[in-house]
Amino acid sequence: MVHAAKFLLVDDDPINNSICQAVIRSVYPDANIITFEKPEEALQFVTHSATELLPSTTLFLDLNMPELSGWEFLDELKKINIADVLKSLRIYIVSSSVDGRDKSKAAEDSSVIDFFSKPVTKDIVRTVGNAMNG
Amino acid sequence: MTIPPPVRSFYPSRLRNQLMLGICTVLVVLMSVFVYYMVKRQQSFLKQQNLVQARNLAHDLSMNASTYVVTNEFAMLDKLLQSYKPYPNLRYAMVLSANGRVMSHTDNKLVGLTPNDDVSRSLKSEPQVQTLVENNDVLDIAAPVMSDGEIVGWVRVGFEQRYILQNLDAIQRNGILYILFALGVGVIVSLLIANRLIRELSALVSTVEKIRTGKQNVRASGSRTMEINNLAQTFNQMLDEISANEHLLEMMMENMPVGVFTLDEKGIIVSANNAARELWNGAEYVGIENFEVYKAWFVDSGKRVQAHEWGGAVAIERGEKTLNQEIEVEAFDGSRKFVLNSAIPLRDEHERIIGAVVINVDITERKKLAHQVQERMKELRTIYRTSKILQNETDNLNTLLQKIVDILPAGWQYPEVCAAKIEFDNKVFTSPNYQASDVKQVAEIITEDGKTGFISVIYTAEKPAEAEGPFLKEERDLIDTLAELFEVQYNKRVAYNALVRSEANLLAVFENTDVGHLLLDRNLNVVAFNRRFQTGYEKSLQTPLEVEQNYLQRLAPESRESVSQHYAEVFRTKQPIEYDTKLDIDGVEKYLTINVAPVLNRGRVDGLCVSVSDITRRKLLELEREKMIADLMQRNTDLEQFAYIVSHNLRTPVANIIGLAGLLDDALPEATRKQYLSSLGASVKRLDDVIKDLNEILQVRRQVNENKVQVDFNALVTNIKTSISQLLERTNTEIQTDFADATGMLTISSYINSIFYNFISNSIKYAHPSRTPKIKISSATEDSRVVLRFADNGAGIDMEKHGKHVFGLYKRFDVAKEGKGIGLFMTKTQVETLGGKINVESKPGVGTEFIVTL
Repeated sequence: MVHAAKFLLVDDDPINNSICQAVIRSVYPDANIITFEKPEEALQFVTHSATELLPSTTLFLDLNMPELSGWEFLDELKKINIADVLKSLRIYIVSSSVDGRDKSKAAEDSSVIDFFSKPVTKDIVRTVGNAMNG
Repeated sequence: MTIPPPVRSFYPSRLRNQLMLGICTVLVVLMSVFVYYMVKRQQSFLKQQNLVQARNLAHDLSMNASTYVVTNEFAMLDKLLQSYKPYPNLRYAMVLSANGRVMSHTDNKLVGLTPNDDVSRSLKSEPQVQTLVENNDVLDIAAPVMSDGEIVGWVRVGFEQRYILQNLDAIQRNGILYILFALGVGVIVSLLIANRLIRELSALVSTVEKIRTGKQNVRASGSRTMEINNLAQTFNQMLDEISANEHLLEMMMENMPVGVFTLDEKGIIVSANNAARELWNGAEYVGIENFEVYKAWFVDSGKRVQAHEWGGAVAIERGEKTLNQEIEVEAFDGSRKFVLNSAIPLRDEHERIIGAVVINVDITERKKLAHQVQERMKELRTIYRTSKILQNETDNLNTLLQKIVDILPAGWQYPEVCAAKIEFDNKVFTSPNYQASDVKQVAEIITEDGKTGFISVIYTAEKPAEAEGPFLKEERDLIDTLAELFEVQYNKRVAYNALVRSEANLLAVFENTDVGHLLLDRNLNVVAFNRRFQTGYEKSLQTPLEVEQNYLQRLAPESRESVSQHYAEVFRTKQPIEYDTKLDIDGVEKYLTINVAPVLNRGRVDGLCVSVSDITRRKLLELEREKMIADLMQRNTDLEQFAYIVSHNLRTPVANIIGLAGLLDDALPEATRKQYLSSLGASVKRLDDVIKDLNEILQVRRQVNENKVQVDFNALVTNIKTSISQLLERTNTEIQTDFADATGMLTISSYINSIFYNFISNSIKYAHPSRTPKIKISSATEDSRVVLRFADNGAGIDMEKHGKHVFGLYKRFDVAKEGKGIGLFMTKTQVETLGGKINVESKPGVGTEFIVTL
């Protein structure tokens, strides 16, 4: 990795966010991590700070959020349709769901790279990082 | 001018005599008249002359004597008288004195006398000349002798009258002689004329005679006498005309299509026209005695016609006519013919028979045709009768066959020697007198079901040959036709029986099926229906169903449109259609499947077959099943959702725990470690909470067996109000209730309590920010279920967005508010456990209404 990795964490559970953050740091101590407990805020950030996402930012997106679900968030994201944003965002669904349907939906969605079950582990982070580089 | 009868007998008949009589009579009469006249004229003339003479003489004498009378000169008177004496026819002359004395007289003897006879006395003393006597004998004239106007004497002269008579006699004698002479002349002349006339007339008569005896072209000759000439000419003309007519008649007769013989008064055949000669192949011009050369037999009796029995003979001998007598003749060439014989006597104006006309009409052909017709009639009648026998549908076959075989012989030419036999299906039927015979006609019977037989007709005697042995060609046709008739009828019967059986079967099926059937014709009139259909129809529409009604008209108006559209579609597509419908029958809602199939006849839709199946039970089962499935699916979904949510809610803390555990594995600064541990604790607690919730939920599902009690809603609400009185006060919540329709129900009190409580607390919790909460709870009874309505004026729910999640587990819409989001889920569970349904209606900003049906 050349420069500091950028990570966006969107999850309504603060505990989860902090765990995730810690895990990422344990792999990439220099990582740039922003957490959102409210998906709307994340949306706002992505829209207005598109440049900050360059060259690429990894997004860990939870599914089960009260106000806006993960899927709804993705739909909103697609509606924004800022080409740079979508290009630079590497979206991973991270969910406690064990529902097969969510998994297949993730597979079918072109904007989602992959689906991971919580919790985010070091292995997961490493995989993501390698994928980013490779 | 008619001659009176007495004279007629006297009147001669012969012309000559007539003429003679006529002329002579005329002459005699005329002459007699003439002579008589002449005589009478002469007589009167002479008498007149005499008279005149006498008177003149008397006068003269009186004149002359007057002086002498006065002077009484008798001598002079005598002289005077003497001078008159030579006067012709003077018988006497006298001069009388005034007193009647004879002064002078031619007869001297009488002088001086006084006549005293009547004659003299008749002398009147008048001064005029008087005729004293005038008769055939004498004429006595007296003339007065006047002197100075006084009578001084009389002169009387007497003239002879007799000579007149004598004269007359002579004339008369001569006259008669002349008459006789004339008579003679007359006779002679008349004889001559008569003879002449008679000769000429005789010539005419002889011409007639000649013609009568047969000479055709004789004509009367002319004569000098014009009238006879005219007569002769007229006669000739007449003869010509007669000749022409005769010729015409002859031609007619010759060319008449019937044979005509004419007989003379003796009964001898004088003519035979063409047709007669053709019929007899010749003609014999013979008399009655020889009539037997014409051979014939009476058709009715078969006896030979004798000479005097011939119609012509009868006409001549007895004057009787014969009409249309049927005879069979043998012509001169030996051929046999049938003839209608008629004969009529001919009479003259005196009713005397002068001949006869015999007419022979050849009816051989006609008779032959009549015979043929008769035979055809017999055959036809046999066919009719057979047909009629076969039409009898109740008699069994054997009876029919026997009847037929009995009437068969009557159809053949010689019924008296004819008999028949029918064999069929191993049974034999014969007419009386049937026997085996070589002379037979046979026809075969073959029926559709493979049975065979024969019809045989036999003659028991030899008969003249025809087309097929002694049998006519038409009889062959007859026997074949009869066999066919029987086959047809037999086949019909078989088919009919099969049909009846099949119909009975079909009817059994039709009537005993579960499906109602209705048959309609092209115009949608009712043709037939089974009981099931009828019952259903009549129960549903309350009118009787009848054949030949128009079905559409008999439907309820509201369904007519759709039904007629369905029917139209079938007519158009010629394919059956099926559709379901609901109908109210007897107050019960029934589900029906209606199948409308076209009745096709050679590609044309002749009608419709409507089949109605009552699928209510099945439908209800189906509906129930569907409901159950829906319910199950819903439950399943709920369960899945539940599972999903639970798993998620379980997994979240678990994931955190795992993550934290992983992190704690590493060496960490103490502060961080503590932080992590604290988080770990929190996560574990969270996990525990979820499990507890789960338990609670599961418990609810299990507690179906808790006892049901009668719960009063009013009491219930009052209790709740009491328990949350502070909250109500704080929020200024108003609770209205209306339990008039349903004051309470039998149910699990804790659940209903919980339900009410949840709704009330939710309404308060999610009240509209700008107004105080108003809650209205009402109850109603619908379809034997209790319907509870909880309506509020709160913030409302966006049903479009969140409708699915209202009762979802851990779904909250306003995360700002406290609550885990299991309230409504629990409520729903509780309602469903009680066997009820829960619905929600809401408008954001207006309010929400929950409807619970228990």
